[in-house]
Amino acid sequence: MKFLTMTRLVCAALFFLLFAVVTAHAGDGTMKLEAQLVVGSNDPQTKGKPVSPQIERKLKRLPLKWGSYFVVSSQQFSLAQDESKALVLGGSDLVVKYIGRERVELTLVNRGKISQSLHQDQTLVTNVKDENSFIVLRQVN
Amino acid sequence: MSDKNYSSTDDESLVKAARKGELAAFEELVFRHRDPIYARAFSMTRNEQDAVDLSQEAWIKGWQRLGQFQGESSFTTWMTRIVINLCLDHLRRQKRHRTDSIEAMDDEGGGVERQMPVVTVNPTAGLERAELRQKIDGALGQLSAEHRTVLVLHEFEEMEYKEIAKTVGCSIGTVMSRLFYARRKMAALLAGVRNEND
Amino acid sequence: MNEEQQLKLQAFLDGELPEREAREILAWTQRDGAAAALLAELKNTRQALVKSEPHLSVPESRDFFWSKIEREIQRLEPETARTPDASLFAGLRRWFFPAVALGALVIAGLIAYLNTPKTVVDGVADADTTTVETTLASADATTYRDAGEGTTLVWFSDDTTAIN
Repeated sequence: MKFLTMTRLVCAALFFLLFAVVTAHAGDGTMKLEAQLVVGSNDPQTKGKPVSPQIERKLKRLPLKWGSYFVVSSQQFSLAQDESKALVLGGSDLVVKYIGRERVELTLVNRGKISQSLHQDQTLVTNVKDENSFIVLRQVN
Repeated sequence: MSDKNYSSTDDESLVKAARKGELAAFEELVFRHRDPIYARAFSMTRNEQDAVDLSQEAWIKGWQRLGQFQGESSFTTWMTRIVINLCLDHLRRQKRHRTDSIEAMDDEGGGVERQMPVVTVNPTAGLERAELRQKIDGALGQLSAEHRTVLVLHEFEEMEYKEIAKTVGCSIGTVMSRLFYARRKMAALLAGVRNEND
Repeated sequence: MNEEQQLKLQAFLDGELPEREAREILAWTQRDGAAAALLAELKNTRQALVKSEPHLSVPESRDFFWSKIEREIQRLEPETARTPDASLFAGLRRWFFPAVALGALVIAGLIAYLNTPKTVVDGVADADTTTVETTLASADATTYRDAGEGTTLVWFSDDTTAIN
């Protein structure tokens, strides 16, 4: 087949080798996470730091009632496997734990617990006590 | 969006690339020229948030109108004209909502500038450049929007009376009167500062 | 000195007078001390302004300042933000890279699967499942998943009015 030229086979081989190296190391060691406290608003006069275009795109596809989203605070931290970090965001006490294989466990004290994979480009969104506020949790480089 | 690094590309090439839809090239133009555009907006509005908003609006309009930029002036000059027009629209909207005040009544000077004593000593003598800049910035803030606009367009943008009149939408006579009042008031304000420093 | 004379003096300073009038004003300032003093004041003020325009910087970071502009440009003209590909090989690239990427992903997925440990960690479910527990038996949680963007929304039931 004409499709399978030598150049294309070499490109494909290099691509999957690189990908395999990356995925072979995925889930090991530490996971770097970002937790943002985000506020939703439908008031055009609202001023604040808007979320990034990537986050905005994700939020606008969710069945949330707001048209605009603003970052109130943002924290980045690294967790080794089985390591936890306590946060206070939006009036809620949170504990984030990395449980391995790119899965995290987010405990909202006195509310509940979410266990979720967070590969690159995956995002977890959940509400907190403060009005119109919620957490956006994702893996970052 | 392209991942190309445009940091060492000249403005002309950036404009060409941006015209073809390269947003990264336009971002580099924004990064290079955002300060003077913001500074012009601030000098006219004297409000930091308004100046940020208006300069961002100017950049968006600049992107939309890139096809109209023929290189007859520098890119910064072209963008400055856009932000000036936006600032003038903004000031006109503000004026419609503004209640009468002493400042408003003093809009055309009312003749007071003719009675001011002449400042005989060069008010800038002996001041360090940075200090002078600071004093001028403070004095500009004490002018009304109308006087400040004419002063900024003439002294900083080097526009002629006729061009200012057309841009602002008033007669040449009004431009001259406002400019005269603004200069005399600036001289008095700077002389007042100078006296404090002596 | 009347208003007209004062404005003529200013126009002379700014080079806005015809040559004949400019010469008349110059001669006037040479014989009239008050006119000369006013001209000097106007000149000093102009020079002070011209050489000392305040230097200001945008009070926002580069990324933050640009993000709002970018968002608005994309909202207004989403198609123009893309670079039109006029290359001769555009048609080939359109199917070639996706095909290569798809094949490589299938192979790399197999390699990744073979590389990762098979043991289940603490009873955790498969990689992409979301499990939710609520603290109170009476409380509830609503889960919504947007597979396209990889977003999972978990909304605890004391604030369901936020959801449409």
